[in-house]
Amino acid sequence: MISTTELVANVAGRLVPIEHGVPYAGVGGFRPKGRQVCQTIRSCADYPANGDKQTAKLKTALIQAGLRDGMVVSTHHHFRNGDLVAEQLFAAAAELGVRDLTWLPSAVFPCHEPLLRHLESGVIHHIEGSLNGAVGEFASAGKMRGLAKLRSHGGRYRAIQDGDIQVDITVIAAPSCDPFGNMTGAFGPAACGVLGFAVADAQYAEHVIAVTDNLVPFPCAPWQIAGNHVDQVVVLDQIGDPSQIVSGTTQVTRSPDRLLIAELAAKFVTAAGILKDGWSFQAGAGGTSLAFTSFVRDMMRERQVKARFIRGGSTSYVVEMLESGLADYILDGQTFDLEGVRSVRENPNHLMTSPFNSYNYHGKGNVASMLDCALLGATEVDLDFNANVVSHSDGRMLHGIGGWQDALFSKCTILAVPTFRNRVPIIRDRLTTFCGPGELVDVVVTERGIAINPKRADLIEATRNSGLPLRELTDLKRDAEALCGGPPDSPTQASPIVGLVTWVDGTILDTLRQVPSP
Amino acid sequence: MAIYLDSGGLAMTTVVGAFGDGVRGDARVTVTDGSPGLEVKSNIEAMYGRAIREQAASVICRFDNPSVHVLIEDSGALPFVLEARLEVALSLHLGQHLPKADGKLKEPIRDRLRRTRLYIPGNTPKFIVNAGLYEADGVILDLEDSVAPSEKDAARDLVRQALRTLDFGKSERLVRINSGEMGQRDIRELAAFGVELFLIPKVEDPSEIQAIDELLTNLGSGAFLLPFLESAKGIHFAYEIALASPRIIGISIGIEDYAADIHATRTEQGLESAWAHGQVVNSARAAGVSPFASVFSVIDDASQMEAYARKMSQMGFDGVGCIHPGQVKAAHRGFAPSDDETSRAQAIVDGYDKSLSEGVGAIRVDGMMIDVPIYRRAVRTLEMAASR
Repeated sequence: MISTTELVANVAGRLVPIEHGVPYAGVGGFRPKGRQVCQTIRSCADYPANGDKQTAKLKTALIQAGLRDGMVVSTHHHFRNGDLVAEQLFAAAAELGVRDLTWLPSAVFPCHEPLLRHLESGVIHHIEGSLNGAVGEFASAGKMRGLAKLRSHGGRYRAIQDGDIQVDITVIAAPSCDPFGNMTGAFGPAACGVLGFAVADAQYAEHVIAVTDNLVPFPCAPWQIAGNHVDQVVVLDQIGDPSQIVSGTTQVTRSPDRLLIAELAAKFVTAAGILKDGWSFQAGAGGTSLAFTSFVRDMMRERQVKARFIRGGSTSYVVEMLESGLADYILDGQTFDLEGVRSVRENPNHLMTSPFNSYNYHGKGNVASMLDCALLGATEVDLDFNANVVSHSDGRMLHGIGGWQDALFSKCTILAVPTFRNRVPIIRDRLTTFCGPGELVDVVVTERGIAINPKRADLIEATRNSGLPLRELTDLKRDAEALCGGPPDSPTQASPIVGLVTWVDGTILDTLRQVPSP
Repeated sequence: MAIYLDSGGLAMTTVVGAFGDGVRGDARVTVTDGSPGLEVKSNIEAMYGRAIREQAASVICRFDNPSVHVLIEDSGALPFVLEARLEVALSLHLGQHLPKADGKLKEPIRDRLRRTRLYIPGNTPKFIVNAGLYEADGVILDLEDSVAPSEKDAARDLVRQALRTLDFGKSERLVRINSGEMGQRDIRELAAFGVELFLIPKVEDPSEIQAIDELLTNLGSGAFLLPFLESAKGIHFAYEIALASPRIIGISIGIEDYAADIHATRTEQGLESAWAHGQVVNSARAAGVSPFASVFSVIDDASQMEAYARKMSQMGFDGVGCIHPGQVKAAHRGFAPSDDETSRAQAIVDGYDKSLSEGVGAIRVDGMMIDVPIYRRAVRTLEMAASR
């Protein structure tokens, strides 16, 4: 936590602590100079010539890696809620008596709730990553000793690449791995698909430990991460439960309201001329996203239109589109179900990608801005189309940024949101937490109508006579407030800062404040 | 809803509404005898805690600030829901009538599309609030089968508040009442709130309709009626029931109860109800009203719903029941006319409009005289075609 006296306003008007980074300067407004982080020079003389980097135990590997107090250690979420590595990592660290570690996960899931004991005992000092669930409650309540620094998937890659954070030791769960450290998520009893979130850590961490429950003879081919990055290989009994990569949301929503929103969004991209031969879109795994994918799939079939590529989490829905010829490629950053795992293993047009390819803002371009359309969610949208995705309207950390900020750069970014949730209106005068600039949000689709950003005169013109319920954002806000009993009270901004929301370029967008425990 | 005495048998407690796992958009209100006070537990305390307390104080004031303790356990109830829960809890606990509320009669339209009627459980707030968004021809706020006997009072006031507050868009505002005396009470308390059509369940005798007609007349309501025939006797008297009141716009078969009443087993082919379906269609047409088919129970397969609606349309029915919003558009597609029918309707409408604009008295299209009813039917055909 930090006090509230050291703050400056960024260009979004948000007060942010300057000593923790550069205040947000607008989209493309921050152009850092200098060089990316450099790797320590290594020598093959220090590694076994026969390529066998096996170490018997994780604890031993950590000792050999020089684990000590205050280090930054990282793990990844390609097993999503089935991750079993973070728990083993911190249990070993606790046994070694190490304290004050910074944990840099690529995402936190409910399965990580047991790690709260390591936050409470001091083994983990703080988490730099998007927080939710019990861990989010812990941080929001001000119980975590350091700031939760929230980054998007692309922002995490960039932060490691740019040296904003130096990963001392990374532990990468590898469903298949050879003794040299070549690894893939496509094969093995715990195959989970793409390992893209670990790519930055493999490239830039000071020490890389691959853990696997499926050691195969060299070479583990095709590999996604080359063993040349890896210091040690450890065989564990279990690294993850692939059945848990399928979250409860990885199925088409049955909510009538969300189905209506998804259908309106699909009709919008059709009416706007976005859905056409050769188009591309971002596919998510949430219920509304999957419903959107289903609707556009049907519309594509009806119009005999094919997508050049679909980017995003792979699910059985996009796999079916690939296999039925409705898409040429899937660019997969995260595999959301076992059909996706099968496809990435079997289909050469199902490509493994990483946040470097798709999202990294400090690179020579990325896929996100090439997408014709991305459908995203939000917890709040203001009248300038700025949006919040990380916190409840009471300021409590709700979920991670994920690829949300990165995908805002698509050619048509659609926020698919209800006008209110649980009485709380989504469209606000002022966001509780500023996560994404409205200039990148083109359309807001709700169950009560579609609002197009006035900056997108082309979309307004294209859909003028479409028969779709086009409305002003202010009208949608008014309707929701009429039902909800006026605008909600805003949480106090006087409580201590417990988290920072960073933009894709590393600048600080906003703060998260301590809130009372529920 | 529950009313019970505490263990000492002295203080009475009344509980209305729902709260707990899986409940959203509702509130549970507990009124207890004893030290007066208001207690609020809400997961949106930071945003609406103040508003909840102000609203509760206002409702309690309307009951003359009784000496009771009121506990609100809220999971994001909209104000109209909270109003209903508080009102019912206090009125039951204190044995008082509900506070008077401003109503607004709505002039119903007899001649309109009624292809789909969407059933919404009357005591489930989260389903009610957006019921008007799904483009059903009618939204039914149901007080009968979807409401447990112990929840009838709570549901009636929730529906009352919903009718007062919500915009149901272009959907006709329907209420399915309970049978017998409870149904009469449903009408007395709701008729003033813009109900356009009351659904009357389990009708077997024209006299039941006549009594309701008289009640509505006394209440100054112009609402129409749709009797449901759900028994052998009801189906038998279909024609007489269809003629029982000028308020009747149609009759509907209620297939589940009917099948049980004739000791039949429901089959996919529906042979057990073939006669009843024919009887309803024929009786309705003979009486000059619309025949309506039952609901379709498969909610996650639009193609099946569309096929069902098309089959019912081909049998002569004017509409079907929907139990999920996802069925509505599929049913509309099922009722959509063929290309030939659409072309002919378009020709009639174009010809009629052109003749009117030219001041021609006798209007002919393709050699056929076109009168107003034919024109209206053609307009409706085009409306139905638009949903394909």
